[in-house]
Amino acid sequence: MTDPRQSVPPDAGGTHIMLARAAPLPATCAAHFLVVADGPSAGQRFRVGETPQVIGRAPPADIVIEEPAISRRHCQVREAGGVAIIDDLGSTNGTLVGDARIAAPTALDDGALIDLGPVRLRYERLSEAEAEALAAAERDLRQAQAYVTALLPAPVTTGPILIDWVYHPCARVGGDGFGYRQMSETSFALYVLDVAGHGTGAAMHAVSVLNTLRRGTLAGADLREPASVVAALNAQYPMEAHGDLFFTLWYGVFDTSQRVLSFASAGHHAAFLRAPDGARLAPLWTRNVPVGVANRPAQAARVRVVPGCRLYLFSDGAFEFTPRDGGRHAIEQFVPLLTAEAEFATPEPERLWRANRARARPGPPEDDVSIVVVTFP
Amino acid sequence: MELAVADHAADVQLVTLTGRLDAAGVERVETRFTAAVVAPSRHALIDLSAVSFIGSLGLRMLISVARTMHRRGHKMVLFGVDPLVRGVLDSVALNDLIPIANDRAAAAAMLAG
Repeated sequence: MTDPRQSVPPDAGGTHIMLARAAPLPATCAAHFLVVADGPSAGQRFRVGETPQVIGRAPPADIVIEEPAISRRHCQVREAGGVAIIDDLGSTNGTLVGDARIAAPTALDDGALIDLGPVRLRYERLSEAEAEALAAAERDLRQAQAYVTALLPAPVTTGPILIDWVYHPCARVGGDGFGYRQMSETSFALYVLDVAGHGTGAAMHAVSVLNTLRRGTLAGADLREPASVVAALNAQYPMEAHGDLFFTLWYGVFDTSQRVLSFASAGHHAAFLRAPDGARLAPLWTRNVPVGVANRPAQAARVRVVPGCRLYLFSDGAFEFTPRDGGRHAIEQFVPLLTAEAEFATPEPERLWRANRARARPGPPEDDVSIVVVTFP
Repeated sequence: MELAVADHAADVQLVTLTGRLDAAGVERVETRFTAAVVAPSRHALIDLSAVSFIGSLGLRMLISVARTMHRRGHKMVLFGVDPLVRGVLDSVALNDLIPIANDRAAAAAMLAG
């Protein structure tokens, strides 16, 4: 049997792909996928095999999509004879294929759109080679994510400052990273960074910057001076030399003897210092563009930290998401949580993460979420 | 996320963005926006009055395009920014990189200046 794709000249560029998709594939070399078409889980894909799989909003469904409008056992998909077939399982809101509610098992055409309540899936039929390339890209992404996770320091539970954190990468992996290190007997550096973008490239850029900061030496910089760190990172990571990637950074140094926190933010929103009374918050922010965008002097500031203060550092994923009732959740909605009462036996970063999840649309986070809480006894 | 292109003047392009510059919005509009602003080889005014939200990817899109324009010797000015969006732009000191005007007339004056 002649593979129809072989008949297309190799220099046909985009046409090559279109013809390959349009031509019927031999059943033996087709891999079938349902891909989430939009929303926070967009791009997530499920492989469809010969064994029927139930799609529902909770286990024991084989494919779980957390969405209240989806029934527990909503529909079922399977592959038979090189064709994917979908069947509704008596769901409340129905299964729509190409905008028509189905009443019987329905064979899917390549590219068919399937609506389960507000969730739209797209059916894709790929060759085994395409499916393998996708799986390889997914493995690379997971490795990059594992690399970032491996660089995150352990919480600090004793000493002059205490640190705890949560880190939840999104499915596509954002470019979050953070760290801290004791630099001398009296100085302690803390930082959060967020590479603009998603995917393996953003994660590896975060890894590169994290490794630079972890090494404890940065050419041309005094790591105890936040302005000097921002300027040196600008010189070292110009976006034109780094795949057009830049990052936002919040960098602070706490002098344990003077009880002074020096800090600089570069394109990053403020960190917040909570007073010992738990009620007042001071935003810690300085005016600098993101790192890698423009090589220019940086501004820093200092604040005195009395015993009992608490510092909250976070990435934009901590506040920027779609809430359950639609619209947009922004930093203005997140900041009041910082002065809310602590919960018994719940670490502070975990409390904030849970509060966010209760507000956010169900499903995985839309962006990496990093929340670092520093307590100054 | 929608995009409209018009002439402001013979040597000035007017590009209007409408919608939310979140991850999905940027994905939808980025290639067209870059082409619409950069390709004509002239200055550009960007109308953001109908943009209700901007996320980090939206900022990246604006910064990338502004840098390309700068390299090519052309100016780009934003105007009509919604107060909530303006707060985000200020938090990343965006107007150190891209001029921001209140309205189209002021934006055009910035191009001339």
